[in-house]
Amino acid sequence: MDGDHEATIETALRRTTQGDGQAFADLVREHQAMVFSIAWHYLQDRSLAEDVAQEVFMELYQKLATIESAAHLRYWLRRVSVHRAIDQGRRRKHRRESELEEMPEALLGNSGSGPAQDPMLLKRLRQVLSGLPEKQRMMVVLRYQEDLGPAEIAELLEVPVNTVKSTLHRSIEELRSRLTRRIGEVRYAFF
Amino acid sequence: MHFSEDDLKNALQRKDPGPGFTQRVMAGVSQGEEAKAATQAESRKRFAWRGWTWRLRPVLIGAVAAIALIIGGGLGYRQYERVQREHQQAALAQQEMMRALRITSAKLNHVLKRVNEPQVEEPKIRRQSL
Repeated sequence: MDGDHEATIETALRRTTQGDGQAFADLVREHQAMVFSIAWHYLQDRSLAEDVAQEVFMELYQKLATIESAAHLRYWLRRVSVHRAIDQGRRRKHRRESELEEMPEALLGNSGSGPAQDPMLLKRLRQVLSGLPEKQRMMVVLRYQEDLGPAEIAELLEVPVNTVKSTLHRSIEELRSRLTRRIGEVRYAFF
Repeated sequence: MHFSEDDLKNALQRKDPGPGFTQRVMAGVSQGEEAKAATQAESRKRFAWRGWTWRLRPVLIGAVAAIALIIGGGLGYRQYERVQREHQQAALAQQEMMRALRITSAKLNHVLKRVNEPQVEEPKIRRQSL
């Protein structure tokens, strides 16, 4: 299945380089959730995240000839999304957690496995995540959204692997601390 | 309430940007291509213009040089005419002056001749009283 999927993407890549616009649209549809989500979870701003995602795909259109495979395409999209999202985040002021935009609850979905998720908890997690420093925040997004290992995260962010490991550990501690620090809210047990 | 890694994964699940996103990307790509084509057409036009002027450059230079020569030549000829006129006027003036000098000289000679001739008494003219 994965092999077939990869083959489909590579066929679309080949057709796109030959000028097939529909094939490029297929590539966009295939990867738009990944690109948009990296930007959205990092920036916590839907409009900015869409802008970043559009810029990433327009840059992809210019650089298609340099993409060698489906795996290379995923790597390239993640790398450019990460760097553009970080650049966009630097261009605006840091917002307090309470001012952050929230994804409408209708777009949240249960993973379909395990017990139903607490929407308030998930919302709160995203809010405290936005308060982390930029590199920490992006590491958490890449680790838990994209399920990447420390080596892959280190390569994308151009930092040493040990830095990623220690930063991820520190980030989880920080999230835990922020979640339990709020006055007047239900305290959550931490993991 | 527990907080797990799965909670974090669920909080950070991938989310679709919503309807119309792909169309907006494709519209942006089309606009970019049109802008690029327009820029390339403009560059080609500018290059063709430059190429055209390059080919005509020797002709243009020759034409400008010819015009400069004609204008210069005309001005030079007028200058020459003016100088010629001045020379003619000077020559006429000189002739006049020489003539005047000759006349003066002749008169002077006559006067000197009279002055240097011995004096001969002329008979007195008796005045008759009437």
